[in-house]
Amino acid sequence: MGNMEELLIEKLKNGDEAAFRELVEKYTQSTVNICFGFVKNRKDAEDVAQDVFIEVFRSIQSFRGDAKLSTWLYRIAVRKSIDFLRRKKRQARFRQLTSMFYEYNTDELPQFTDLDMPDRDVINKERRELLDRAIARLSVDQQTAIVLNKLQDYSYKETAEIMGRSVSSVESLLFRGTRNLRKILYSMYEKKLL
Amino acid sequence: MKDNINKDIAEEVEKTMALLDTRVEIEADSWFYTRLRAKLSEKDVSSNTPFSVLLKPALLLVFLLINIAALFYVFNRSEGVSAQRKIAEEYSLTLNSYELLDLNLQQGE
Repeated sequence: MGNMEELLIEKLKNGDEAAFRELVEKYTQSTVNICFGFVKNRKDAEDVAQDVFIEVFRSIQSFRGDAKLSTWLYRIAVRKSIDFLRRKKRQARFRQLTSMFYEYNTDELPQFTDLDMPDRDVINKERRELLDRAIARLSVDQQTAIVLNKLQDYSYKETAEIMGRSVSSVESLLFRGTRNLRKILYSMYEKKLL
Repeated sequence: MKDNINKDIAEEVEKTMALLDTRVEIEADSWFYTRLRAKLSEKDVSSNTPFSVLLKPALLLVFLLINIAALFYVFNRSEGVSAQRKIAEEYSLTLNSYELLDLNLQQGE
């Protein structure tokens, strides 16, 4: 851990607002993008990222410096994003249950927009949506490894640190994850074409 | 025909898998920090108000009171039923018609 980071942590622990602003400005982009990798919607990603910084602000006293500040922050981002997805799934199940009595307005449901999906190419946009749906069907660990390493370009070492695992375990998660992803995509396209 | 479809699917799967290597990056909103500060102070206010501090024990108290009241009502009600029964017995309202007939005959004798 560098001296600058130690100083920043010290200031944060003392409740320095300027230090908090510095932290947010430094890590907003990467945190929002990690969250986006999971939740696939800009607004939701920003909301989750805000909750991440709120948790960092509140629990900085418990940060012992075992890992880098960024690793700790990204770990919170992953956990919060997964919690958000679980909550969303529960809400979807509840909606399904209550839809027998109440017809939902489609405006209330989260939708992908061009803003959320920077791919302008329609075919690629369709492929990406299918890919996102397939990733969402993987186990949480495989999904996390793929989002961090493949979609967000973190190295094996960084991914392992964020996930709190060894590099070889991440490699194995990625191997099994991509293999499962191929199978899921194959069955998705099969249903679509046959 | 089926082989062609399988080939198309395999091709499509590979094209989709290739998207894993293209990074999608979004730009965070320029008002992110301002909105974060607002959310933070909003959460601080809502978690520290005397109302929220007292809310949990108050709700617990209400819950306990409702339970005590329900128990009191149930016991009181059963006592009320036995008092009613006593009155009914006193005026022979619980007797069936044969018993009443016997009673009348006894009184006649």
